[in-house]
Amino acid sequence: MAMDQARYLGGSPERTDAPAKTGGALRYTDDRVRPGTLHAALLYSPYAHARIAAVDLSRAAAAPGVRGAFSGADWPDTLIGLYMGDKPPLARATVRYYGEPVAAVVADSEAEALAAIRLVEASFEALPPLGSPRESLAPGAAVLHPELGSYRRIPAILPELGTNVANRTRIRKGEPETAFARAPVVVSGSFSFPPGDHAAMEPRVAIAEYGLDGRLTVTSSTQSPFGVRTLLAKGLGLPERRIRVVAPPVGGGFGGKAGIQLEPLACLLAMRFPGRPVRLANTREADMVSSPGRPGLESTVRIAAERDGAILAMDIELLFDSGAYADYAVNVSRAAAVACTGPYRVPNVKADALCVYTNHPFATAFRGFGHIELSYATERALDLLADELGMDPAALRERNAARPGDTTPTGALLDPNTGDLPACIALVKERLGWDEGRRRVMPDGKVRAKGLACFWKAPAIPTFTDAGATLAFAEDGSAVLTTGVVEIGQGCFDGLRLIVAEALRMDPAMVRVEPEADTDRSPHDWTTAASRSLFMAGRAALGAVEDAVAQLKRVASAPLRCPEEDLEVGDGRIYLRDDPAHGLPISAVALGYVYENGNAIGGPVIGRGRYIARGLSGMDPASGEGRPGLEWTMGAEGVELELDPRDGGYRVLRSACAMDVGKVIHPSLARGQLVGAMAMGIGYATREAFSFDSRRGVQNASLRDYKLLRYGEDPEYFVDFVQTPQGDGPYGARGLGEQGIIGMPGAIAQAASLAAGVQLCELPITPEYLWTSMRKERP
Amino acid sequence: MIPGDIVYLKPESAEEAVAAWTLAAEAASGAASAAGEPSAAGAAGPRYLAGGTEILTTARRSAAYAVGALVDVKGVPEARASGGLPASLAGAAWLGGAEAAGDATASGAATAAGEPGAADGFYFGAALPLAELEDGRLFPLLSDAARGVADRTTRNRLSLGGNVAGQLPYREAVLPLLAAGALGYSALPADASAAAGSEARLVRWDLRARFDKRLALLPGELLLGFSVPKAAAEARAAYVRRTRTGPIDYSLITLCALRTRGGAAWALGGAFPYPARSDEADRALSEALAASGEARTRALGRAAAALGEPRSDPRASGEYRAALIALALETAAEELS
Repeated sequence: MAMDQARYLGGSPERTDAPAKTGGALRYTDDRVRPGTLHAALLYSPYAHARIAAVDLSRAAAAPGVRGAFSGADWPDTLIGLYMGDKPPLARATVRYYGEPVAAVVADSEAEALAAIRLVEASFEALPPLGSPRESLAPGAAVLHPELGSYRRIPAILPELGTNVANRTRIRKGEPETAFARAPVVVSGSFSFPPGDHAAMEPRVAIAEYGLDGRLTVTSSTQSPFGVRTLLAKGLGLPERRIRVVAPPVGGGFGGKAGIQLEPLACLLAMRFPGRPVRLANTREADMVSSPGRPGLESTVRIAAERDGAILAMDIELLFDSGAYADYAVNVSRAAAVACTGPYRVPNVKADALCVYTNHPFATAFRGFGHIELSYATERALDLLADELGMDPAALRERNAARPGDTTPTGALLDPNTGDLPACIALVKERLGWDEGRRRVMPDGKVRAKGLACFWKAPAIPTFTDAGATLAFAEDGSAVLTTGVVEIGQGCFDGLRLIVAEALRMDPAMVRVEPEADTDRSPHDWTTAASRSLFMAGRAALGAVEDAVAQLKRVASAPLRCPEEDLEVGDGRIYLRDDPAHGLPISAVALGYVYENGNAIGGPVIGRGRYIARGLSGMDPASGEGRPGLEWTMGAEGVELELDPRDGGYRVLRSACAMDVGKVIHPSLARGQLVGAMAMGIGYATREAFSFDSRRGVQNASLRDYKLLRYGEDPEYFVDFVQTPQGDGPYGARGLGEQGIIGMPGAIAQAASLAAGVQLCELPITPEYLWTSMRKERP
Repeated sequence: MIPGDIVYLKPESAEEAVAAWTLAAEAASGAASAAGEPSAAGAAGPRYLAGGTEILTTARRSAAYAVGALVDVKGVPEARASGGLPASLAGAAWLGGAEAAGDATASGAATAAGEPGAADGFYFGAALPLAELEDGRLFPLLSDAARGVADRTTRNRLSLGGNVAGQLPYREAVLPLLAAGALGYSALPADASAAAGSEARLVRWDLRARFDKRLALLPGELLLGFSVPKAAAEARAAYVRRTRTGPIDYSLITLCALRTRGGAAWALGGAFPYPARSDEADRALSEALAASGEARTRALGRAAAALGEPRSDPRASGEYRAALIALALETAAEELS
């Protein structure tokens, strides 16, 4: 089926969940609390690093309504983690970050639990905290995880015992030393920013029940019901068949709910009260600090180049401030290494990406998964190179843009599915009026400047990442698709709906996608993350449609008395391709066909589809060589901002993104993802970051002080799609959910640096930071 | 959720409100002594409730901020009035007697007509939401100051009185009132010597005289509202606000200034842990307006210096605030000229 004959793809029907979401009627996890639910409350550490001297639970345990009070001592051997089990559910012996849970009470009501938690008496002996990766790596630094060697972990994670390195990923491609030695131009710079938070609209919540049948059921605001099931099995020592995870729609995840967060502790508490659900819910403040956020970064980048701008080599050091526990961050740093150069042709690469323990709140997956970090570092370094060469930064990127036939840092070949980066750069330049000039002083003294950055990302997924789908029919001939994908705001379902409608040639109004995932009922799906849900669940859905169509034809061929291969399915019917009037409605076949005399044949049609990542391999521990990336989505983005040089105040006026997405399935959903990503990137670059006091306590752990970009402050957005087909994607589509955020900090830093006349190396870019930098630069 | 046993009271007059407060305070101190605990001020005692944003957010965060009884003042007519002075307040006595009245005249709180408390000004009830002050333009500088605080949804709840008498350091709504030399009105629990049957005294006072870093209200004192002389409300004004990031954020500096007969009056928020003003600072700004070029710049420098060095905190350094103040004073001088 040729692209231009698409009937439903490329349409933008209204989201099916729009009325419920905007009308406040949708039931999220915390809207499903049954009568009889017990409520848990937690005590959080006020110290970033301390020995726990004592935890006295006696007064709390005796408080009205309290069923139990617990500390780390209640689970002395349990360790939870994704790739490495390093985190106790409640702190034992030491606390390693401000906000770490230290004690829990479970009571009949939320009010009683909150009143009782205040009666827990915990005393600490403060220890000096480690406040940055370099501090943690300095000789003689305290080792935050002395038991690092004994932690259960997957083989791909390589911690360095006796240090604070949770994982080191090495890339050694070509001959970087030689390239640097002979290069005519070498630039180098250091770039950094502190950790921050996802700030999703819905704070995390988990409701766990240990049934009297010995099965554990967890309803959670999770992006990964099957992931949670597996990790609970490992962490709690229960087989998967005794664990059920239910995933209602989620009010924003952004990666923060892609791993395992409140579920283990909720389950451990529930197991103390068989037959009673136990609810564990975050306040906003706890959601920001106690549950994981995103990592910080310290980095150094060197680039070697020819005088005409051709890049010869890159030497990259990325130190991820992963905070107190490894969680997802050990894979985030690995993913950053895989993509470390950015979407450019770099024949020689030396890179080390380290995931480093500090006493900061710990980090998990965040939209971009390490790519914002690597991109910020390399895009800033490229700007130093452009400066050095006197070259337009966009021209430098065009010159070096990766193309099919080039290799990634891990030596994987970019195949014909690779997107068209130069086309994306050209579109962004056009939107910003790049060639009209990049810097202009306005009559009122303000300075307008433009910045542009490029990005790429392949999903950082296990080599065996999978998706399943089933398709069934109702009496009215409508189809329902079931997958393991979670609705986290991205509207994947409406994309899947169009894919199924297109494949069945059925009106989308007759296609429904099951909105909730439940490990007892949904086909297996790795996780709703990594911008792969539409790709993989889409492929699985196509498989399910194909299977269902074959079954429909098989059953229909009997009453229609024809060979199956002469039949076509479309417009709600099964009919002879060469004589369309001769056929049957799907509703007469999908649940079995009944002859006039009552004989029935067939039975419910159940289409089954599945997909598993193709051709992925692990990485060589010494050189990083391998093919971990499934498909690369590339693009460019840029901004124009206006700076007031008197006080450093500025506004982003325009923000443009052009991305090669293969095929746009649902344009308004796709646009929504890119605009949302740009907005989130502006927040990331300009204000969203934790600030710490001298003892590494978080000072802005509430939305009063941790500011997000608001409507009214946002720029004019421009979105363009390039459609170089992804051969193995559904209808040629490739993933696009995350990528729009990745280049924003680099683009904003480039524009702000140009406006201010000084290269900026830190985030967030606040007016005071600009003002101070400009003053330092003035002679 | 805020755990605790909270009593909610909704009086319909200032007298009822003060009486309710007094009763609740007595009950709380009785309970406290029965429990053998010292009855610290505010310990599970009553609080006046208008918008409730500060009570809610502080009680959520800190177990030490106890809430025993909430006396909702949104039904008190004087607290919701705006425009003309409510008739009941026309006869309000001067807090502190004739002395205070004299002071009020001296500090310039007198109206253009020269009579302290003359009813030719505009009155703003303490329970009015900032959103209403923002929309009504009786006193444009107050509308500007109100609009700068938080966001519109929150301003639908934030009250003038809560903002002026609250615990946060910003309290931006008080800045135009200080600049204008406003009068305040409140209800106090009755004296023992008061006529039988009267539950409260209505009093008026000079805001500047009672405001030294904060408005020190007496226990049980119910803030009813403020009046501003018409001349001040209609005078040329300047308003500058700067934040750390975008417009919806706490203030790094907020400057409110008004043209007066003698030159100018101004007040500064955000730069210190309290709103600040002084007669010396007003004099220096007045001198600046009368001067130009280098002399103006020097006078503006003196105006800033009169209030002291701004603070450094996680939001901004003192140095940056000082630079913002200098720029804001320049802007103010231009706008007032």
